[in-house]
Amino acid sequence: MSSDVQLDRVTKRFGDVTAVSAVSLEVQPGEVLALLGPSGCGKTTTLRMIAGFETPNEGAVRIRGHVVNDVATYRRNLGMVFQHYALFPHMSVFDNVAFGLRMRRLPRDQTRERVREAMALVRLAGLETRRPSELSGGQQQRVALARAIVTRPAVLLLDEPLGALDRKLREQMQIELRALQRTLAITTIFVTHDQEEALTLADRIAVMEAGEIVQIGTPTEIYERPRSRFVSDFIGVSNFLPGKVVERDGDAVTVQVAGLRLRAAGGDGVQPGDPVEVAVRPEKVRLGTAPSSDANCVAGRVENVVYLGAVTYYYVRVTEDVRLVAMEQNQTPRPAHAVGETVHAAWEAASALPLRVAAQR
Amino acid sequence: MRAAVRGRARLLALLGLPAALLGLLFVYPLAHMAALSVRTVFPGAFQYTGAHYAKFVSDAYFLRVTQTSFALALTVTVLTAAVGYPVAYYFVRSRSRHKHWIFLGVISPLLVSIVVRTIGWTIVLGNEGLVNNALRMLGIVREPLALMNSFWSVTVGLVHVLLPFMILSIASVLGKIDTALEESAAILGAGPLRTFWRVTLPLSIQGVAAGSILVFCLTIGAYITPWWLGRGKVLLFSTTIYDQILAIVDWPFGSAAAMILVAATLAIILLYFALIGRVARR
Repeated sequence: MSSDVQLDRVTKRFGDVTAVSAVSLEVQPGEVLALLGPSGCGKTTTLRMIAGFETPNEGAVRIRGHVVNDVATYRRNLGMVFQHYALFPHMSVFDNVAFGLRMRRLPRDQTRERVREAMALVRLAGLETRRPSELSGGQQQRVALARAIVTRPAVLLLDEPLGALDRKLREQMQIELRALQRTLAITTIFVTHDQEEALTLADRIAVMEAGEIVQIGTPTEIYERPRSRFVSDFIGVSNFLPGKVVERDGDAVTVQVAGLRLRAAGGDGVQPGDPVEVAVRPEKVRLGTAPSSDANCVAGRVENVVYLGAVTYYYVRVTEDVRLVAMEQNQTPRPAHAVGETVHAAWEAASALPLRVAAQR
Repeated sequence: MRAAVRGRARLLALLGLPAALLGLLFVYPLAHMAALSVRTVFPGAFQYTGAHYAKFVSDAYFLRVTQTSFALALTVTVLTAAVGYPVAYYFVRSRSRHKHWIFLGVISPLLVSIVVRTIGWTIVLGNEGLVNNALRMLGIVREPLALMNSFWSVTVGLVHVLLPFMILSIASVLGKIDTALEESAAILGAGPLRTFWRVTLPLSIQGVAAGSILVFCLTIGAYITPWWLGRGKVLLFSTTIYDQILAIVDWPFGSAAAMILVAATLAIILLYFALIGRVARR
């Protein structure tokens, strides 16, 4: 009961559309939770219900143990960074950052001191007299962050915080944001559709689909042990090999895929006879010129080579219906395999996850 | 060189017609009236004098007319802003599917002719009208109140017809304000009133300013509505100029009055701009 934010079977409907359906989650003090999913999955609505901009139709939103369903936004003591920052254009940077403190009627000298601290924390000292319109995108982002943390909120909410920045700046801000969050140990919930951002920043990730949380866990759990094809597909790239379970021995599973017998591990209690898709990450597949002693080793022909600088993707046709993508680090000046070459693709049983094929909805 | 010529040709194409219209129908008559206002007589000998201006500013009657006109313009402006702002806010923020009906309601005063509008107000405000009958039935008054032919009946009529200008001016600016700004004020601890005062109003003040200037100028220049709803009891600048020029046929004095009106209105607008500029930078 010590969680900072708790959602208890929260549902939000807009007319006939259910945007969020019976979502439950808990965020511990100091934790960073990412709400990850494609657009329209309900992640933003979930965040807006925590902020108090939307009222849930069912369920309870708790902040530090108190039900806040009927508490107005301005009494919730939250900080938020909006997608396009939402800085007040008619105020200086100082007045923007000081706004929350003034609303709390903090004495003038304390306000000045706290704004100075926050500006130093986001490394913007000296820009206090500027207007938001005179700042770059990255600087506006920092002002928005300073404005959100200066009031020492119970929870920090971030709505696609880095979405408007270009790639280089975004990666730099991700690292800074993570460091800042650690320094302040501030409970944070952020919404993103960018899996890399979620992996970089979050302690835990809640993957959402069609208004529901389909899986919640640490980045490694989500990446290595996805519970469905949707999660596996949304986070990173996967090979999906459709087949049927023929044998189960403890954690080890044997799956018949076309003419191949593949070894896999885990899989939410799938039983012989179940239709499954074996998910294998491209970086777990090794290519060699000779057969290997791995649990899984299949021969195929390289059909396509996509060179990306640091890594190369190889598209390998194994049988008429089975194709594999393998990713390899480029340790030699040129790709190790060429189109048309015969290769042996190998991966461990532990790297292959049999995912139950979802019943047609 | 060629580019400069082409640029100038494009400018002429864009602004030529409006400039010609404005020059022909506005600048030329205005200059003509300015010239008339310093002549002793018209038509007649070319003799120049400032006597008309002196007469206007020293005559108690004309000073009272000036006072009434500006008081009316100010009252109408403040009332349209106060009534129009909430309507504009609702119009912009409403998620209703029937928004186009609200829009139609907003501009409806402009769809009805001045005659119909005025008769409508007579039905409501007249001695045998809706308001007086109601007051008498409730026993609040015995004799009918003189609601017609007064400063306030003119005010009501002008607020009614000028409201659309105010609402649309405010709505156009209000509609461009990102609702995330109000949300971030709320997140930072500002209640609805403080959010309005510190964020929404300063950001929409330019719309109020534009609407106010429109309404103020239209009220100062209004002639027909005051005449219909005031019936000679409410003496205004516009009616005075009309009387001087077309009833008394004193062209130079009427022109001088018109010049004073233009100058005074311009001065007030400039003052207002300066004021708004300070509020918006708060």
